[in-house]
Amino acid sequence: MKHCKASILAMLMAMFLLPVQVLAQYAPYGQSSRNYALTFSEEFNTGSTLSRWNDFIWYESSNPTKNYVIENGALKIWPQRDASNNFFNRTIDTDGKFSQRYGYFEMEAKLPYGKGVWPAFWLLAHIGDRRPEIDIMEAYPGGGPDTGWSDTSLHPTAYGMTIWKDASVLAGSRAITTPDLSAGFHKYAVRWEPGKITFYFDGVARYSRVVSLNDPMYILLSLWFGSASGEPDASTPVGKANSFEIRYVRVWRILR
Amino acid sequence: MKLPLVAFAVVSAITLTSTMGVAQNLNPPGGPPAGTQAGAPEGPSAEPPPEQGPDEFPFDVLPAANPADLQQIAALSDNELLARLFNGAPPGGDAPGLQRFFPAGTRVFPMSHGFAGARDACLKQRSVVACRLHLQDLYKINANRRAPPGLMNNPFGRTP
Repeated sequence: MKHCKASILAMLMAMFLLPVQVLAQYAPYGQSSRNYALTFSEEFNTGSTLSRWNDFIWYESSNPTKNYVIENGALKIWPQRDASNNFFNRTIDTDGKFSQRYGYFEMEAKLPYGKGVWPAFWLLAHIGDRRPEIDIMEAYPGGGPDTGWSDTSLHPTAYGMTIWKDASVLAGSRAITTPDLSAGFHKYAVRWEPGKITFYFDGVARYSRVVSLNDPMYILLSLWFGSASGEPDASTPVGKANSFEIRYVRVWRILR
Repeated sequence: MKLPLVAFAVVSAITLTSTMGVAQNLNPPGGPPAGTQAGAPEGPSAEPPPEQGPDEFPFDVLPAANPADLQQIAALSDNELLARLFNGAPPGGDAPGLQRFFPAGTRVFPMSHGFAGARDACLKQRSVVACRLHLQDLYKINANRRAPPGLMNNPFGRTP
């Protein structure tokens, strides 16, 4: 009889407590699950493939030097020189495989450091001659302490959030200072609504802008070089140990 | 003995019902540093007020050019276009045909990925598609120019 009661108790606990945990895991960080419906989830589990992703952006070819892998529950993309001894951009994107208009887009990641690296989590559409873009996170650790983007050892201590109506038309941007973003994982997110876009860092809203972007956009995870991070050089740490490491990318539809 | 079990089931059901709608994301491994969880938003009041403002044109820092010159290059065939842009320059990122539109050493910030990616793929891979995108961007910048060349945007100026 005691054994029977214990079994019932365990069953009830499994029935009621497990779903709560599962639901909780798939709510946007710091948000009420009541307001969102999950539409895309990439957990980068070990052994999974990038079947829902391309490893290049549409106007270029994929560099055959492979500088990314799914390992230990994360996608890792690292700075590397290719066969011609040059650093090259790597883009992992869902162009043609997943796109969405409006929603909540979230990534948990740890960033690389060093001269020239430009890691980013962003959304893009290319429709006719327009390329609207939402940069949820872009860091420029190579900028150095004088620029405000990094510390003296070129570890990222700030990042930017930017909205582009087109490739050269800026609708709003903000940079925030942070702890060393290469020292641990953080959550970067955007809530994209008709008429308003709000950016979140570790669940806290940091920047909001009245703006209207209405084209469905796909997701991009990129490790490029240049811009405010400068050009990579012999000091730039290469290899897997200096990866842009992404634990998950999740997308929700906004219910209310 | 049955009563505690029934009570547990009722309490569990109430807990589940009340939690389902307001489940907050648990702090998974690798979550925020101590203190951040407490700082997570608890409702709309935690959001900063949305800013409003006119569009900006950070690429107006580039030297002004006649858009018609860019249209003329874009009208060339693929081979002619690459020859015009690179003019026999060795591979490695130099495009003499683009110098007057985007001189080496010019700093633009912020720079969209859309612009930077097409420029980079044009210069380094000599992708015709990317070069045409880059020319299109340069055309739009000059056709829609709002400010005189030389004004630089600084987003840290607005850091809260």
